[in-house]
Amino acid sequence: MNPARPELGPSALQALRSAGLVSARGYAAAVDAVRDEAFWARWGMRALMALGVGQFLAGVVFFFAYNWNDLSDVAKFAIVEVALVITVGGALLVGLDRVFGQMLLIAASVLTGVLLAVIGQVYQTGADVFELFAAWTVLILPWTIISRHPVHWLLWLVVAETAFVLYAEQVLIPVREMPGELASVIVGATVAVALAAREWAVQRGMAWLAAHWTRLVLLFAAMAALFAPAAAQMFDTDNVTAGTVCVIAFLLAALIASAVYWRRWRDFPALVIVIGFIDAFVVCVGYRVIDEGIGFHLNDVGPALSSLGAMIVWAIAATGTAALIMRRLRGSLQEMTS
Amino acid sequence: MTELAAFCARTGIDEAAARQALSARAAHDDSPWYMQVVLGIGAWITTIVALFFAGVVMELVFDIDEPNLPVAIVGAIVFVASFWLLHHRPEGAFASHAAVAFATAGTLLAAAGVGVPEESLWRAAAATLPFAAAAIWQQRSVLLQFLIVSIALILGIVAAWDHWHDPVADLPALFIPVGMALLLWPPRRDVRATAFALLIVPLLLDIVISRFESTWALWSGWPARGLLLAVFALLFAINWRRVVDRQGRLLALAAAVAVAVVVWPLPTGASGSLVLLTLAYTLGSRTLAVVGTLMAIYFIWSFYWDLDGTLLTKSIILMSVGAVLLLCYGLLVGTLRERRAS
Repeated sequence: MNPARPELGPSALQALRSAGLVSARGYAAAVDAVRDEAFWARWGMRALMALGVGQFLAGVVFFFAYNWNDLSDVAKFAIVEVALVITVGGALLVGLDRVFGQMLLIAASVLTGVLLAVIGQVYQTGADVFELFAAWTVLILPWTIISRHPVHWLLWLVVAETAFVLYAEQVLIPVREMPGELASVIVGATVAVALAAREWAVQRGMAWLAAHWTRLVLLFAAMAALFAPAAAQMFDTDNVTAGTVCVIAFLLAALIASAVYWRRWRDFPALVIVIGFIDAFVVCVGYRVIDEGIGFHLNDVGPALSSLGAMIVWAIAATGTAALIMRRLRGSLQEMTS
Repeated sequence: MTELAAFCARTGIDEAAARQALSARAAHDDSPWYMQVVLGIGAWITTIVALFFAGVVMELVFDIDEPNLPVAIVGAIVFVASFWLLHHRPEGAFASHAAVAFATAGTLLAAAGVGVPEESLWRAAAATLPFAAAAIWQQRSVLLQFLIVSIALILGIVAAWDHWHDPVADLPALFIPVGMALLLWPPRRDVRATAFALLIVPLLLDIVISRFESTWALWSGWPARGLLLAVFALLFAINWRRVVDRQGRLLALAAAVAVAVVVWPLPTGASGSLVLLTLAYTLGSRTLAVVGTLMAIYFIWSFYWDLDGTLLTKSIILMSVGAVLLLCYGLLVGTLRERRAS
């Protein structure tokens, strides 16, 4: 904020209200004056369309679910395939440079999965579930590429990651004896690669991927997938090697993300996500250290009070430090902006 | 973002006074919501450990099997001490985090100390009310206000659930209008955290309760729907003055009728999430937009598992609602094109 010509958004209005400069009755008018009309008009339109399409499609799904068992196999295929043709045809007709056309192609991608499920149900192919998801991933990739829509890419990534997780659960872990924790690390790493690809693409001018939420969703997913196995190591360690890999992967991701979103892009919400996960991990480390050092023996007054007391101090220290870092980063970013 | 000078000129506020008020704001807790979420989770973790600590002290040191009045008094003392800490060290990151966590733990101890001996959830809920009032009164921590008001709401709703099984899913309709009013006509004291708790916590509890029992029956709960419709009417009236031309007003009226059609057949949670979305639009609040979107997705999805209506009935409701919304969308797009062309 430039101190000479300060700007204010809706959140600053409460300060004016508390100072008595804006009355309760005049508050709505004051909101009008600071609200980004163009943004909210666009948002309102999109929300209306998304709600309409979402509820209508959910209604269609419910309708077929109601009648599904009574339908013949031919009817089942016909329904899904006709819907597929309508959505793809509609997308081509409307054009992929318009949001509605892109939405139709996303619907077609979802219907492809439904069609594969119907094939599996009718023919009882005996295929593993991961094969269905793998086929789905491959089949919708061309549509995902040509639609140039972030939601479509997100859907594709979810389907692809689900295929991998199922493959890991059904083949890699039981047959090839891969440690289960590594599957989660691979998921986190691949989402992190997708995030890196997103950043690279935006730098190359792919403006359709530039929406801020795409970065935050991918970052949160990557950090969550890497955090879960790393944190689990703090409660139970069976496989030391796999555990070390999990912890190193999480710390590496946190380090790289902190550096990139602080040094290069100065993105405070992204930094808050990273700091939040680091804070949670530090709390888990504290639990482990105290458990090893004192032990949480809740029936014995001495160890119980000292271990829980130490845990309280540790939790306050961890979150207090996180709060301090976030405040300082925010202050620095505000100074830089001004 | 609007420039302060332009804002003051438009609203007739003295610019120097506005500058002073905004610079004074920096001394208060104005962290963004996602930062508050991180700190809130941290505070809950500390609170849980503190409660374990209190439990050990109670059982192993003082030989108290169940929370009782002395425990409630200790909880109140912890709360007051935390308040004192927060008042004297509001800027200290460690002190304020500890104060929020201990004040929350103190509130829960007091509620348990009052409610457990009588086996009364109502008493436990009532015991939290003075703490909630104090948390609203203090202006040092938004997080503390949100957490304590949330605890009071959770205990109150669970007590209601314990007594009346069926209407509990409609309770969000009672709290949403209050939360909305606090955001649209805010008092001078900052109560936004209370408003957000009133808007969000009952809907979240609705989700939890629906996992345990089927609470919604088709076409029942009409008082809740009536209340939500009144809320929509109010929001519509506020937005009405934004539309200046006749064509736009006709369209807005059509949209209002459509919303009424949408709200009537949907379960309270789904209608409540639509209120959140409309309120987000009215206030320009991205936080409410995110929460409302997530809630809308959840409630529409969970409609599938509702056992009170057949899938056929539910599919007709959803298709009709979707068709009405798409019709509105089409009308809006058409009007905007005409305007651009003219």
